[in-house]
Amino acid sequence: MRYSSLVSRILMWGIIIFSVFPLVILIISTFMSDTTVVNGIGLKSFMLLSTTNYTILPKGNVINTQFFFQYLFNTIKLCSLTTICVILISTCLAYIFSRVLGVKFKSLSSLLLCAYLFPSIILIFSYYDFFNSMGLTNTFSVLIISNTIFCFPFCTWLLISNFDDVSQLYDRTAIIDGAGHFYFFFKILLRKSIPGLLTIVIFTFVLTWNELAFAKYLITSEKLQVLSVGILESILTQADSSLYTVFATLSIPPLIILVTIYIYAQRIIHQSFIRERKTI
Amino acid sequence: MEQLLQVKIDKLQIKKKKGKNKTIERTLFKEFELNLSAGEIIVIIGDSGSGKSTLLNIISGFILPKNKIYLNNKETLTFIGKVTFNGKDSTYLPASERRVGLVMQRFTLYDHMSVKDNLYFPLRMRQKLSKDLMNDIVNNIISQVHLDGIDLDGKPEDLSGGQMQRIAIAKMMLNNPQIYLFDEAFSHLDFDLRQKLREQLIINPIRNKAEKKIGVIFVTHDLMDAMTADKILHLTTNERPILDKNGKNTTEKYITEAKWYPRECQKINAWQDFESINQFQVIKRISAIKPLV
Repeated sequence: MRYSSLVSRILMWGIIIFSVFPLVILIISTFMSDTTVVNGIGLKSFMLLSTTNYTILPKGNVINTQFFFQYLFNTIKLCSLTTICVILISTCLAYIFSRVLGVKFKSLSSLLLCAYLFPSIILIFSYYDFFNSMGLTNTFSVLIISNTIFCFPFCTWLLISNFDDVSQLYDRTAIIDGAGHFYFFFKILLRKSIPGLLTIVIFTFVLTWNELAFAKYLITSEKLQVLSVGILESILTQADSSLYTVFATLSIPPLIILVTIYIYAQRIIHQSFIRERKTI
Repeated sequence: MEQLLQVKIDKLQIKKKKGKNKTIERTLFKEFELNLSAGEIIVIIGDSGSGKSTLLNIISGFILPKNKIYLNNKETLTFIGKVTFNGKDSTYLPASERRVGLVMQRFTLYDHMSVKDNLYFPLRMRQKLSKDLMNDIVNNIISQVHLDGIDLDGKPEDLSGGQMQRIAIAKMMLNNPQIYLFDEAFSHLDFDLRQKLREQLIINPIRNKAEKKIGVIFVTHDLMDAMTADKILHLTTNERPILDKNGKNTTEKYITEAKWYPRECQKINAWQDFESINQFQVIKRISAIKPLV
């Protein structure tokens, strides 16, 4: 019993260290000089507890900071709008599959998952051709559309199982109470599926935040560029080595906000599951 | 007495595919008729899967006549029959217009809403009422179910099992139904509480009402519920299937038998007629009322 407890503790701490590793690296980078990070000796000097390579802010310059805020604003705008679009499409589709279409059509919902299996990089040229013919490339809406298309199949599939978990007896109670489809959907089904909804919000937001392929190839204008492409370009081109550390430093506050929102959201998810189990 | 409901079922059958060549065919009702008059209490008892809840679903309009209804990938249901409310053919009448109230063991209350919002829900759906009027109606119904002073802003999960079912009954009554349907509504409560709720909220109000315009159908496994009934419907499924071999295919046929028992059946001795009910259970129930000395 003691042995298993020790193993589980080691496992737990291993997982925790593994999960916070990217955050630790990011924080370390913010205290390193630009050349140290770009030359790849930042982590090494941290491990050796060397203090010679550390600097204290400020780093970079005002122009880099302006780029960062432009990219950050674009990214937050893109993530928020994509999340709204995905929620609208996924909830409607999931309701149709879960409640309106009969059991006969339920197997069709697994096709949604197949759509998600294609890597986005394979589709990029076809997407480019398609959106170019419609004159949509280099617009912000093309990113929203392409990210929505990429995210909604999985989110719909996830929500279908979430809606299926809400007992059909609730539908009966609501119908007897005089509620129609619309009222039942908004007042009961969506409210009872908050864990699922929050999951797809986090999923879509994070996936769109990290998305690179669409943003790189469908947008060329610097004004519309997003954070992921900005950081990648600063690393690849190395034209301005200070850009990376500026981005790393400035990423900390939004990251802390995101982590706080995430912790709050997962508490709601957890509480909803507990309530579901407790109520008769 | 005025007839509230008549259900005529020519055929109600469930077919289930089991494996490649095996089919299970359950005939739940065949040439069956149920009549409910105002002021009458019918209790339906019987085995699990004998069609008790399915019958309630037909009455409340969730199962409409159709040759093939897909229950899931492997099960289909066939229903041929007719439902009449107050002498009018209401077979295809939507569930929301049938004036039936349904209380189940679970899911009658919306757990994400407060108790008050739960009670407001049917009122908001039916008509536009002012908040003051809704408050009056809710307070009135709360005292009818003996829950004065309860915290209406709390969630249903904060209530005890008995209080929760009282609220569920109050919510049902707000719909102003003509027929009360109870689907094992009290089966998770303890014996004393079950008896108290049954008498306080259902039996006494219905029996004492001068104008008896309400009928009750109770689906239960509890024999004490059956003892309060005017009529008892006992459903039994044959335990051994009838095998029907057509070449490689095998069909297992189960047929449910529906027996009506009159009010006199309330006498304890009559329970021996129920073949499927374990005698030990009967003795246990009886001893719960009168301790054996």
